Amino acid sequence: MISFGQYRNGNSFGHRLDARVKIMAMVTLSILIFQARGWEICLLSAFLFAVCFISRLKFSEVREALRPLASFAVLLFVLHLFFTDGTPLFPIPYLPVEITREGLVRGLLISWQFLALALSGAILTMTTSPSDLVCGLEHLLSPMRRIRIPVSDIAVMVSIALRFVPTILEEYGRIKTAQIARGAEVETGRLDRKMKSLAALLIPLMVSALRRADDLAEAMETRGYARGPRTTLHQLHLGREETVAVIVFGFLLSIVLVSKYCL
Amino acid sequence: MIKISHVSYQYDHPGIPALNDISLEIHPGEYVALIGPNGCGKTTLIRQLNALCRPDRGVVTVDGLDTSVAANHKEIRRAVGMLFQNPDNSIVGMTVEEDIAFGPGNLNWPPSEIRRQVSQILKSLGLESLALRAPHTLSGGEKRLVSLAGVLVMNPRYIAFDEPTAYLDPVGRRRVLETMERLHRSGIGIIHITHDVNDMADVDRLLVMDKGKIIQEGTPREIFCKMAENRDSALSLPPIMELMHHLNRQGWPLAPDILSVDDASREIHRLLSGASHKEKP
Repeated sequence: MISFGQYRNGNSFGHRLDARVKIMAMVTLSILIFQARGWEICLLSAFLFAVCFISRLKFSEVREALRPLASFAVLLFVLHLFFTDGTPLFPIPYLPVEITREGLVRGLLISWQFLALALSGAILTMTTSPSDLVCGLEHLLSPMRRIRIPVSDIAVMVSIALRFVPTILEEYGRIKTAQIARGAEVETGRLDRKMKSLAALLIPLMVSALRRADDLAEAMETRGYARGPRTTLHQLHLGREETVAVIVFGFLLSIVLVSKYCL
Repeated sequence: MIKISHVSYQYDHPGIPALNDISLEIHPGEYVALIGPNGCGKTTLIRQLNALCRPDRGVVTVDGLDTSVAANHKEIRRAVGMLFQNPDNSIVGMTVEEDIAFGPGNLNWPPSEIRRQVSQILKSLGLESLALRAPHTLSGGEKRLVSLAGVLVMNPRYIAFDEPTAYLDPVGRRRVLETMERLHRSGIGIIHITHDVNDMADVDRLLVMDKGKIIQEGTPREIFCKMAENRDSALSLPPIMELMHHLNRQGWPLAPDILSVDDASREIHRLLSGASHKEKP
């Protein structure tokens, strides 16, 4: 099961906050993180950790969410460590590369920027239910209706995709068991045989997904679905909590921007 | 009233037509069961009822609205709810309450009204505790009820069920059938496709289909009695009726047209208490 940033039920300040505010903050943060250097990145990191704390996310949950990305962060670090020119720290015997002070700093910075970016995304998806997320996106994108982008239809598509992820995974498990029962070497056997049996998994999966799509389209039609704007159960509202969040975030944003461009 | 007159329909591939000159009326509040072998056109017939497919020849009208007129579709689909065989593929929402809100959203009801209706439906079907659950975490019976809720919220006058009890355990099955019975009592017309003879005993009218035609029509009692005489039908009799027939043939003077356990026990009781002073045959 994919667990990256899966939604954790909760009722903290971070959970309650309007999805639009959270999405916008996350987008802004992800730009800001790559602009920030030195103490600015420390400030942003502190902010992210504070948000984790306010949202009552457990350290272990956050760690699990970031774990799949750890190896990539290490790779980034190592690449920068070895391939940055500058003052050598110490030579490595028998290798034509050397570790530089600049490389060390740069590697740490960039791999941390990458992890911080992932963290801000994980915080968003861990504190916002998929429904709220889709609803928030729909509202944020709604101005694009003016240029004839079918925002409501996109929102329905996204929510259907999310709705069917577990169903398709379940189906995958079922097909796998069925094929193993018929002697397919899915988990064992040589690599070439494994690749062959992969086709025996994916083709039935595709066929069944397409059949599902047909059924679903009919079901949607019988329930009156037609393209174009529609109303939803969820209502977003901006209240006092959102005001507080926007002020705090705006303050943080201006500190970083002022420090970067005015000092 | 749903009125089907001289409807024929053929799917794209050539061959025998799926529906062959069918005429039928379904009255408001009626409970109709539709039976017949696989591929006889049952599902195609109910797909005609809410304009999912339109007749090649003939006319289908729902409370006076012609299904071949596209402008009527929204109203027709609201009036005739439809429950498919696989509820897994008809649940659209990421959570139960969102799925129920899908239909009203399509009708552009204001969110506060949607919220009100959704909670009312959840309550009436006893599904409140499932409101925020994701569909893949539900049991088979729960999925059926959730997809039923998604149809009911639009306040339909008729609901067509395509084998609603298939693949359900006895508990889920009973829950679904009881809910259908309750809807029928509240005045909603029910069209029920089924293979299970036990589902048919209480319906108002039974339609037997074969090769795109309705070959028999009548009360369950009439149809089962005729079947018991002919004994050539693909359908089996309800077990209780089979039993009465057996006993009847062996010379016990039992009425052969008994469909329910209650009636059967009354009949046997009558026979035994009446026969106590006589020698049994």
